[in-house]
Amino acid sequence: MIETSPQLKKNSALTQASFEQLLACLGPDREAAASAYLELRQALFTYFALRGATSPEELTDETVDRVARRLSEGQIIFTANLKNYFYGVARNVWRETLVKANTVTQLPETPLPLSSGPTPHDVMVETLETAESEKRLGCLQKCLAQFSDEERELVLSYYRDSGGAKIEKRKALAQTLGLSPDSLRHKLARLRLKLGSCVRQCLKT
Amino acid sequence: MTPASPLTIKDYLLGKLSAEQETELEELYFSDMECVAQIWAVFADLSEQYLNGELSEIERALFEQRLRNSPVLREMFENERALWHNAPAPTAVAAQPQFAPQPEARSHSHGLGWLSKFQLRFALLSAGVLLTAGIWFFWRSQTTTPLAPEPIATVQDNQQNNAHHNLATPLPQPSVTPTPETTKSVTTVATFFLPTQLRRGTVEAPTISLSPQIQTVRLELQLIDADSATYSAVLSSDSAEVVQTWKALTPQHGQNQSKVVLRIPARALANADYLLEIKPLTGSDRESFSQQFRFTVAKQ
Repeated sequence: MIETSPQLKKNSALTQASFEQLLACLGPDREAAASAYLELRQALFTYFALRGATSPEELTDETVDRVARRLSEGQIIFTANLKNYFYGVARNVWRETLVKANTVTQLPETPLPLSSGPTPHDVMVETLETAESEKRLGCLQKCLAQFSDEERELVLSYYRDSGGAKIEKRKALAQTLGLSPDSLRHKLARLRLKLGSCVRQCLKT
Repeated sequence: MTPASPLTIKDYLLGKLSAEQETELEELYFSDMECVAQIWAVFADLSEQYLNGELSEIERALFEQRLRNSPVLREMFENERALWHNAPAPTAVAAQPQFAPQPEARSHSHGLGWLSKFQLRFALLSAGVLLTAGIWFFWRSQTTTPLAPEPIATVQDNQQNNAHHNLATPLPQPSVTPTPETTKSVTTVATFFLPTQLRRGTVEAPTISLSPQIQTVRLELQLIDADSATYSAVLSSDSAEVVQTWKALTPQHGQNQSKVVLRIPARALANADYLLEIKPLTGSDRESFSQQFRFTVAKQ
């Protein structure tokens, strides 16, 4: 998913040399390249997540790996914007993923009889959802604790109010931070992605 | 390239854009990274509107469909929901944020810290899950059969098949000219859905388990690009022997996905690995693109 650390995450399948070569193509200096790389991974993650991938992180790694490999093999990439090339490769990766079937779901041929109240199955599903929800809360709490005080306060303050008060509060919040309302929304979107990444990891463990 | 409007992004997230419009937006967010943040901001807005009941009925249905089709979006939405319901009051914000318990939980929390209460509830919930699972299995066994044999007359079944494809040949086929016995008989159909939105890197083919009473296997195959009016399909065994072919399968289009449905007589299948290849007969990809589904049959 989106990197939670400012450090660059290198796909383990890449050699250091090919990774460095990729970075060199992404920006004039290492700092700019690192920033472009992280942004690119965000775009790839978003693309695969919205397509419905179960594990967008793996597909992101695969895409980066392919482009880096081609660059290290000396392949010339004819595009004004390397990021567009990444998009093309991502489309291919997704298409290939789709043809690899690995699950099967057995569906009843006839619909189950309708019932007036919740079935025991409904109750079980609800109970499981409640348990998952409790676990998620614990993870959110743990992940928010890893945020800086400023980031955490920003996220939580965004969710505190409702109704008309919420709109006014958000305007005031943007003003306090010296941001436009849109910039604030985008900043929060990035923080949510960071939080989402952390929660996903936490739920897996 | 012009920036994407929130409305366009909303339509994108609700699956209302055409394939061309989707591509245009995707190209945009690969070249303008601010657009990625904008997409997730609109997603948060949609989640908020959904939770507040502010979406129209159609938008709500589309949003739910999107969440069903994308596990990651579902997770992000669940985070949103949890934050909306549990964000603490300003005074409670500390280095270790404590979420306010849900109102119904609060009334039972006398003398218990939030964390220990969580552990207690988790243990109770686990016990509840086991209990309800037992009840559920008992209830299902009393009321329905998971693979309820569908009382379809063989003749009807064949007519339905012929509407979509030609049953090709080398194997025993269901009776085309029904005798009185076959008209009275029933066909037990097992339906399997082979999706395309799958985790990469898993090489193991899915196993289709067939009980002895299954006479027809009905496969629903999710299509990647359903821009073709018709498809052909070939089912072959692991030894590359053609088991069955279909020459004119018509795709069925749902709200967010398309599929083709085909039927295979269970007696045509053995305990083996199979490859099912689907090709579009019309459309731009017909020369280059085919979709493959691998599966293993295990007869009980």
